[in-house]
Amino acid sequence: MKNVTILTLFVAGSLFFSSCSEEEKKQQDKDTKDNHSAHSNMDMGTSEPSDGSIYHINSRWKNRYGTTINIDSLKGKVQILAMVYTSCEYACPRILADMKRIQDGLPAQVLGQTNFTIVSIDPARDTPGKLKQFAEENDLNNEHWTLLHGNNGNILELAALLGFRYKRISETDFTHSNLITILNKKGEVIYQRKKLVEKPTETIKKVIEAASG
Amino acid sequence: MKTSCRLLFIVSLVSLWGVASAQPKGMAHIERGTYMPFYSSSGDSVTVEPFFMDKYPVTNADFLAFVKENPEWRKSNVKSIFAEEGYLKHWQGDLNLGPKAEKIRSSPVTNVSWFAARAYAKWKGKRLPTLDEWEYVASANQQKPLASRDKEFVQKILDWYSKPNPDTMPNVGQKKPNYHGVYDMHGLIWEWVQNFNTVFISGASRSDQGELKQFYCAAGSSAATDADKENYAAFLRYSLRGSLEADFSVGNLGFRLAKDIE
Repeated sequence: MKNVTILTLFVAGSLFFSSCSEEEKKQQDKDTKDNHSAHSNMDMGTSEPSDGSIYHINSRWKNRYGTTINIDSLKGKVQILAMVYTSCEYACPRILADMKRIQDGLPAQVLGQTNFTIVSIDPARDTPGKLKQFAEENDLNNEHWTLLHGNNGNILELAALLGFRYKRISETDFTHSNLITILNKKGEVIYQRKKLVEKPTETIKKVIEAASG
Repeated sequence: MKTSCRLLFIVSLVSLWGVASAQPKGMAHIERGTYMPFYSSSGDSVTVEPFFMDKYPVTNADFLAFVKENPEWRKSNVKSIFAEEGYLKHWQGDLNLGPKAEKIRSSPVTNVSWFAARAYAKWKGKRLPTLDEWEYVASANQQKPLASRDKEFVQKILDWYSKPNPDTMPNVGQKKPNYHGVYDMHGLIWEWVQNFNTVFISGASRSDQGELKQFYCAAGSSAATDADKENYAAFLRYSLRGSLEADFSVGNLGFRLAKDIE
């Protein structure tokens, strides 16, 4: 009798675990499927990204309109990317100002091959709606500016890839690196501007090189 | 006969308990607890919610099973963006631990990047512990959950930090477990945590003082400048984390996993 009890418990236990892993598998399948559909929606005309491309992370984000996009939809253009939060009062406005200076410094035909991407590190407050409002306030047109909202795991992963460090220090503020990253069309990091004081001259030069390459 | 019946009864009770709490095999249940991070100058303590933590670091044999099923994480296939050149360099081949295979099967896997550790965790349906979770569990000695002010305990850790790495890593679980029933938090390897990149170090070096302000968006505390000098061992761990990049593969840096309690 007691043996039966134990057996039942074991079976119950294994069922419990298998249902857990079943659930995870479903989620994984779903993720894979979603990624695939995101792929098929994009006509990139490019093959598998190179080994050093950040687009291998294959993570999903929402843009300012609330549309879900895969990170690799940024492929095909030179990207000038920064991670910030919109309620930041000190460094982030300067980072944005520098990105605009870079934009102003690019010849028209280079600008046509370039996109500016802002990734929020504060997903709780920087909702797609908030990002849209921020873009309007700062004249960030949809043609050249992508603003991304993502979950904490995806933000952490992208930050890790770029060597960007950040930490929440209060209800409202973060401490973070002041990093502007240039990705070539394949998604390889080709340059990072790490200090606020640097003039954008070098960054502009790198963008122009990447656009012609 | 009576005894064996009683024993069976106890066994079934234990199984019942195991089912009820669904404690994953090989993991310790970590109770909710509060600790004082070493960088805290304001006296703010951090509360860690209950979670499961692996009793042992992930071993070479564990990781071999992972790369067998996930070819993209084999040495010869791994994308350079996810792991630098030294990835699994102590293995002889993709699925070959080399001449010391038997000796290192149960020793902790090292030379793995943060991305690889994270992929392994996902494969297991688990995750990496957060920095606070790891530090909280690591602040326990054998007798009590908070021992990071215990001189003897801290000295032991520092003694280990000052020793060179052995040629072959010892097996996991050779020493006594800590208060939580977790082994090898100190004395074997350094470990990746999920949010290692929340530690800042660039602003901390003396020649960098001018940049210190540049490095922060808002005025805040820096890990290193507000260092609690008493806990030099924790300071060393934070310094290491501050110097890491997610693709680094380091000879004495491994990991263990955590899991949420559902």
